[in-house]
Amino acid sequence: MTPASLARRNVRQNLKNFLLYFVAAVFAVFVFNVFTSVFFTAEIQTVAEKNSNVRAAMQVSAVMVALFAAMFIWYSSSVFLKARNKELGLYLLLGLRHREIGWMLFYENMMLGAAAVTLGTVLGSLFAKLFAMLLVRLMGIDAIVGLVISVESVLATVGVFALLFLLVSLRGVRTVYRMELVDLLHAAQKGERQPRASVLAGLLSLVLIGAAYWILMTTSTDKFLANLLYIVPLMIVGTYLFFRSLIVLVLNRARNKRGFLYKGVNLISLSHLLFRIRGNTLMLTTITLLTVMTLTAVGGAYGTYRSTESGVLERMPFTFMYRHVDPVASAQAEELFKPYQADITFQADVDWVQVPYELKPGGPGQSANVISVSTYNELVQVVGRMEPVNLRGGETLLLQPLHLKRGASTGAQALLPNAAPLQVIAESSERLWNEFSTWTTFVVQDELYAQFEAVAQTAMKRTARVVQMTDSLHRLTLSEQLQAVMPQMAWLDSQPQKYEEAYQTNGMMIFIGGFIGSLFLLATGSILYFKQLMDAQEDRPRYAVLQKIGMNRREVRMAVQKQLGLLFALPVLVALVHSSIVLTRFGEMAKQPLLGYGTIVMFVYVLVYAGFYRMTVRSFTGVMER
Amino acid sequence: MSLLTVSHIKKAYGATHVLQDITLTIERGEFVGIMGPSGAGKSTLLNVIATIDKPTAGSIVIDGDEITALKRDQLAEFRRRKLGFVFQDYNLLDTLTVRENIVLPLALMKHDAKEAERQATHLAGMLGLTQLLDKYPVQLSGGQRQRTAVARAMITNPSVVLADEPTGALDSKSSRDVLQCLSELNEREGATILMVTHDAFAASFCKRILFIKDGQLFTQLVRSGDRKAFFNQIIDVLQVLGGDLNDAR
Repeated sequence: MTPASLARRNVRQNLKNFLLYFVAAVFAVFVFNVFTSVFFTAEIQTVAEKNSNVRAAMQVSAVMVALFAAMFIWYSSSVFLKARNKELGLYLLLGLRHREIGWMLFYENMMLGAAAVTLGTVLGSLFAKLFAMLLVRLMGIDAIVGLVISVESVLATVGVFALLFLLVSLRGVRTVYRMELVDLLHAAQKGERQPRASVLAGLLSLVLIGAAYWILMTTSTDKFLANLLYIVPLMIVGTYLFFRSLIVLVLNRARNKRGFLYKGVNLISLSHLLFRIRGNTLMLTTITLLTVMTLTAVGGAYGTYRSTESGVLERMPFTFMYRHVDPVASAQAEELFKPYQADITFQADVDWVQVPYELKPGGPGQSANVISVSTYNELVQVVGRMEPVNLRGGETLLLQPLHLKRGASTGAQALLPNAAPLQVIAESSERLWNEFSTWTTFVVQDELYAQFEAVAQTAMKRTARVVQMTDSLHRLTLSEQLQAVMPQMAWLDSQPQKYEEAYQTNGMMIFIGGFIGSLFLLATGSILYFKQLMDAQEDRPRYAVLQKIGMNRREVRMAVQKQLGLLFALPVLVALVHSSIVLTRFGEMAKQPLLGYGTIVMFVYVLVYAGFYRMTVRSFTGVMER
Repeated sequence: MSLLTVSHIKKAYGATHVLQDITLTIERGEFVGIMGPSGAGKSTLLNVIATIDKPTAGSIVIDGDEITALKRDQLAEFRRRKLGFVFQDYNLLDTLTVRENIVLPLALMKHDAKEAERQATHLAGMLGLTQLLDKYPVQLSGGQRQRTAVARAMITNPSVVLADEPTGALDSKSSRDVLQCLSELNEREGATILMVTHDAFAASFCKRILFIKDGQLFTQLVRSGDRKAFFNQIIDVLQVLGGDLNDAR
């Protein structure tokens, strides 16, 4: 009997065992194929060519999905390999050589891989149209999706997974070559022991998580990315210690309360859980972090998508804004606006001067805008988000749209070139005009502004036109006409164009977020499900004893529910707290109610997760009663 | 009325008749052994009495209850209240301490925690487990584990303790320990014990022994003199009984 024929027989005869692995493999291929197919549709490609945000999001997420698929297949194949340890050991015992068993595994895996790639690609191509239609709708594109089967995506899928299955197969061969008969016959091992937890580590976990929260809530927007380097590790280590020590401490304490412990099934569920928790710490941490990532990403994407309009209006209070850099272009623009005179509710030329600056305390900055208080008050009345102000000679109003810590610089001294120090009497993070010049801005008294203007070099003096129109978001035709005449240097900032782009980008983000989020949810659910079912095998003799000494089925179910309930609830509760904090902060930065929309996402997440819990309890109880 | 009455019990697995018409009674306070060659039906008989298995025909009355008529959850309740179990492989929960293992049946019955603790301490004293109460089963020797199992079986004050080869996995010193415990419980606390064994030494601690062969009651021995003499009597019967009893010590 050749290895190839043995492999064929194995696949055919152990179909049930293979099925789970096979389904996992098909699923991974399917997911990747759908994802790439959608991106290769003509309609989406057209958008991606114009919108670089969409393009970047597509590329990054395709890599993420590929990584997910790879991890999924790698993990399930290793579970599968472990489950077959005994069988492989038997072959060795019967005198098959390592080489033969290795080749057998190799053929098996390659056959299975070929079948999975074929089936997954076919299914993916069938479903891709559905997902492409969804995406087009989310992005607000007016297009009818044609056939989406694309050569590129099929090639990408086959290429990626051929490589992946080759690696998995080779890993199988390597495992076989390394296996010793002795180890195989004693494959089962006892790793989990009663955990000991130190109070110090328990407290440390709270300190670390608290520190992460504190940094998160207090850093300013512009330093946010840099500080993520501290926030993320603090959160990970804190969460790990939280499960490793604090939870163990709490459970141990509960265990010492005899009155609670000796009440029905508490004794069993609690002690099983405690016994389990050390082996599960890493899993609990992983699940928590996956959940935090999913909830913040999907919650953030959903919130941003739902507040696309207010987001654009926040960043672009005016319909159009462009600098006067070329008199010809400005004149052409004037011509273009002519037919729309009735729709224009406000237009004005505003000017400002660009200067280096220093805040005390706060430090120096490259460049700030200085504008006059009358310009400020004029614009504020149109934008409507701030109050007009009166300034005296030595006073200034500070606008820092990227700063969150409001009030931090109030009372500080502003040192600007060729002027006496100014006192910052108030500050705001609202935007005064469209986003191209959202730097630090100082509002000063008109006479003082005139002095700045007088001494400034021509290159540092700016004049721009701001225009406010009715039905502002939908002036796309006019926007394209302006775009055609304006030189790059005019920095045309068009609200309708931004709105279209944002709608596309956010639509893409919510699609990707929803897609990857569902994958993560599925991943966390199945990690928990399979880990618990593996543990169930170990718990089975324990429950058999309990049933022999007179525990009835209802009590078995209750004990299982309590034991699993805590295990499922813990990571998701921690994750809910983490992600609420993160979303609050994201919302503050985006000036949108992201947490509110995030709550909807959390609700759906918990609902699906609860479904996994019920399924696990049912299977677990099934194993106990068998 | 007898504590346990088994009448005309039959048990068949398909065409194989494991128990054929067995009738026996056990009185309160007895220490009864069941012996017989492998495959004679000892364990099946015990399982049927233990309500873990159901007989094909016949009736079993324990402490006034006809157990063959009870439903699954009623049986669980019955086992918990009226029966105590000692198994060959201890069947302790490795996740619980000795104390928790002993208290377990009372915890399941939501018994008062203080009272449960008191009883556990009392039994642990009798069985020499006082120093071990906060240890886990993996830290104990076989004999200590089995004594823990005996304490767990006794804590509900059951009508009858059923022991299935309780010394099967133990060395001779531990065996003697456990058996002495059982017979002390029998004598001092008046516990009724029914023990299945194929070991003549273990059986010699009983007061009465029922011999089973091919699913039928073969004969019985009642202890009258000291244990040594009883042991020799048992050996004699076993020789008559034949079968594969060469594994008896």
